[in-house]
Amino acid sequence: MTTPTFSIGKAIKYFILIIVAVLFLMPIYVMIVTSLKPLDEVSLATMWSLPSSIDFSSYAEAFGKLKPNLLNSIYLVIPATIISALLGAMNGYVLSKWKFKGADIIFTFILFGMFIPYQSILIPMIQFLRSVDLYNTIPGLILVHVVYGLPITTLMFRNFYANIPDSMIESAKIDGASFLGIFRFIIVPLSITGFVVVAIWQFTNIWNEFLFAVTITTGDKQPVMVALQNLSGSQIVQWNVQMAGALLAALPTLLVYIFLGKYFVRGLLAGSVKG
Amino acid sequence: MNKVMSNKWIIALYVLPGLLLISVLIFIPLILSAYYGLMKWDGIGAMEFIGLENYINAIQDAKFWESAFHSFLLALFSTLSLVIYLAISIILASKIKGSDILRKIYLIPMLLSSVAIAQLWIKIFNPSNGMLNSILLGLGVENPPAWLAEPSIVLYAIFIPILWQYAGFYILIYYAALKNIPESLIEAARIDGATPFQIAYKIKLPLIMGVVKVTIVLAIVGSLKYFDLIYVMTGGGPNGASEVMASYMYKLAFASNDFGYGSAIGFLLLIITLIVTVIVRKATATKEEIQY
Repeated sequence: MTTPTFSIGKAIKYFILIIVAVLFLMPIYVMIVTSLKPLDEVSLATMWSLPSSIDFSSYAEAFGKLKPNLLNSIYLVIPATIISALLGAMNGYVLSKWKFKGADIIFTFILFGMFIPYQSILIPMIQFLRSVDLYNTIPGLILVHVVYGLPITTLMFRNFYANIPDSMIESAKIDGASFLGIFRFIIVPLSITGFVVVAIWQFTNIWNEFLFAVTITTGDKQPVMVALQNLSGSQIVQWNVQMAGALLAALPTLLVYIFLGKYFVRGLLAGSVKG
Repeated sequence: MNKVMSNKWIIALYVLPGLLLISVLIFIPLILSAYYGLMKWDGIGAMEFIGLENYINAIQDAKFWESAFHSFLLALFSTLSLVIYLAISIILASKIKGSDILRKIYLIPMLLSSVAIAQLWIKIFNPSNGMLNSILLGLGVENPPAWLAEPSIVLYAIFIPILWQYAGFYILIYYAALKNIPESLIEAARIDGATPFQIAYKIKLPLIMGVVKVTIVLAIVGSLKYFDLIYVMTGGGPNGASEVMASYMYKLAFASNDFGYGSAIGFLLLIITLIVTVIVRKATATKEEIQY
């Protein structure tokens, strides 16, 4: 193969990838630039231009309006992520490493929840939450997210534990380790990567979720995504405040990916998503 | 697989909490949904048993079938868009300098919520001060369309942010699968004189077919359930032109307070999704054991 054709091929590849990247970044650019402008600078003519001076007042306004809901989201996402990851780890551990009749049926039973549209269960679920006094409460929303997170967390942990060789557990057993010993000294330390991957996944999904949030909570109990949607409810849309709010609401997931993203990609590469 | 331990009590201790929660909050509600579908009910007052009336109405409801058609159209678009994601991934995985940073750029939309994405794209599509029409006017297009307000265009317009939103996820999956292909296979084909296109089509694609099939199932099932972005962007409008099954059910129950009919539609949505899931999985299943 000759060198010139090779480099032309390479140039075309770069061209395509960079065009795609620009298309991906353009909306983000407009979002950031708009959020930094005062309202009177937000117009068609100046859409692409940088703000004449950087103005954080839209962030202050958006933060003022979204603050209680941001807190709601934090109270929701942390317990819901931890509980759904722990239960998923327990299910996944037993389903991958223990021998018992009906394991496959139980796995299918748990996984089923991944395929159903949530509209199909919404009305009876709200009825149930009302009957146990959890409707319109953060704990109610935590419960729902734990249950609907279980299928995916169980699946991820099952695949994760399946990659831990059985021989490791066998030899610990021969060495006289108890059930708790095996769990504590072998499974828990080896699970850390699994927990990071599952936790990032659950955090992002629960933080960004909308349907349960909008139907199960009202008013001051609403998580941030519902409040963000309500921000545009007034007659004149303040685009700068709206975009600042959207960016503020995305900040926690962004931070999680910046600090833990490499573990997430590594975990996925290691086989959490299987063929 | 050779499972190593068995102890009924410990197994029960580990899986029972999850099973109990799933039974109470997934399976019982599913059955109740079917049951509420037999009722005339405003969500607050007493229920009145009306037999199959809601289900018969639903089957004859043109609006429901129109929304189902839109959902299936989205499923088709989503499946076709996998080809684009795959093509990008193949280029990205072919020893490109800076592929890490590019992959991260493609991942950004995935971090945003559907609500944020919807609001951003409402602004982009805005006819009077939106980004898209500012580009089109700049290019000399006269009277660019009003995108989300145009019944004949709205569904296609909505698909652009959907394409944008999910690209990073699928590209990441494909990229990971492509990177697992042993370099020696590709090298051998190259020495035998295969063109890059032949290598992609005849070697890389068959080797990652398992992953591609999983993504087809994900894309189709996901599309049939699709709700947030459409609900925020258009609410199903104008005049039902972008209504999908999930948004139609939501509207019946939570805007019209028709909980009986809403339950019936919700249950039909479940049946349709399950039938499609089974068909797609059968169609994409290979001789090997089906993996989740």
